[in-house]
Amino acid sequence: MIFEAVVDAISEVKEIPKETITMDSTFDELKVDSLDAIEVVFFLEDRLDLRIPDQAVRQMHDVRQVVDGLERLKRGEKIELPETTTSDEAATGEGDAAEARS
Amino acid sequence: MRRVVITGLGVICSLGRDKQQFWQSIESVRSGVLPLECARADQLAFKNGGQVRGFDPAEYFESREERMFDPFAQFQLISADEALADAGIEWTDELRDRTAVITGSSLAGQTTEDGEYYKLYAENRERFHPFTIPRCMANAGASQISMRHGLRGPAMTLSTACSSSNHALGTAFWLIRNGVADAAVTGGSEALFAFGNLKAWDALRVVAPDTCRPFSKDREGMVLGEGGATLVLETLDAALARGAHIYAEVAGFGMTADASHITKPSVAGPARAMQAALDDAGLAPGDIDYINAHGTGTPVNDPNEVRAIRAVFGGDAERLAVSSTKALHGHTLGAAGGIEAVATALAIHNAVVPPTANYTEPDPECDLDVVPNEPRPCEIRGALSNSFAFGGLNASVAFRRLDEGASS
Repeated sequence: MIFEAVVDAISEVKEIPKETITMDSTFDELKVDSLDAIEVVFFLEDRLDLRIPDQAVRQMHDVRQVVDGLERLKRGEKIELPETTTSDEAATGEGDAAEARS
Repeated sequence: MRRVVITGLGVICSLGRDKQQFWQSIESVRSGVLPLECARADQLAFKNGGQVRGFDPAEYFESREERMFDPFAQFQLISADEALADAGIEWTDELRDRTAVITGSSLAGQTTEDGEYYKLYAENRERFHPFTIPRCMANAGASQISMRHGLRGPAMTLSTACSSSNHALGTAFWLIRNGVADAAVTGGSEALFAFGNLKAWDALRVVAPDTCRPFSKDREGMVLGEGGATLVLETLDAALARGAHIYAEVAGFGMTADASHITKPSVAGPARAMQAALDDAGLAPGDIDYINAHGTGTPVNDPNEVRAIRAVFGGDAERLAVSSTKALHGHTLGAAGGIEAVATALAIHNAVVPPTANYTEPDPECDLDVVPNEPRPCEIRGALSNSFAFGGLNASVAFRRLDEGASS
């Protein structure tokens, strides 16, 4: 269900056929840039009634990461963030997921 | 000194989707002011507005662009696309680096704000669309023109209420004349038919219940309008060198502040702006044949503007044709200077003075030749276009016909 929601959101934001989006697609491959990712997350939060933390959004670079993260949130778990991510690093991206990529 | 000419025009407003429709509506005196088509219109004291009827952004933009552009940016972009196609400049990297984009808007993305705030406060929705900020920012129009057309010179947006796009046009003109830029895309846009904004105008009690009758004794106020306009400016030398079609020359720009009252205009402020535009252009009152007046149709503005014109033009005031096209397209606030610059440039180019529509009764306090109700063939050698904003900020732009065989 969550995978389908992610595919729907990406397809809507990028105006690309759903068949081109797989669990293994990366945002780079799908040409999902930082602003696209934020709009994808907006649609998903609205439809799944979730709040995805800003830092988690910055860590999402492919479909699998988004689906895994949302499934954990749905189960009431926290999304674990890599220890290397500091608030300073996140700040340099000015909310820009692409800038925050490692 | 470098001379600056207009080689591209674009406009979208209640009078039409492009400059041909726009001019045809003016010449045939077909008003764009019609019964309001917007939510909760029955809760307003005024009933009519100059809306772009049947506007569907999908005719102009991809879905993603539509999500990113507030209607005010859409109007700016649609007019810019038309003006740039009209100008037909062959772009080089060097020229792109030296082309300015200067736009004006008073309310910017207020339509988006109105909609998003409604969801937040009335519907208790928790989330804003993430594009709300880039949609609402006043420079969205300038930035999107710059990105869409790869123009990388000075770019900014001026917001001075009803003078916004005259300030933008004058600034773009000066940037080119002073050698800071070699070309400019300039104008302004406004989208204002959001219920919250309409209620705010309602509260100010300056909007006429039915229609706008500039300079007419029975005038009761302004009528609101929406739209966008863009002018492409370049040096006379560049335009002549590439054999470009030239509509008119932008000859001078003047701006002043009343420094008196927040809504009530002074005579001296507007007069000094017109005088400054003439001085900047090196023109005398005798060189001007037409004034596209601010002419809002409010009881206060029109006689005040007439007094200001008399103060500057003296005996020449009797000879001038003075009209307000706002009767036809409404007061488009931050887009007014741009839309009226297009009207003025086309008036010069077509040798026709636009009429003041809806005129019914002479007012002794507005006793100039206001070209009532019928357009008039007239060779216009020079013209002024006035914008006088709330806050007392005045901007007047001088235009000149470019005679055959003109050279710098």
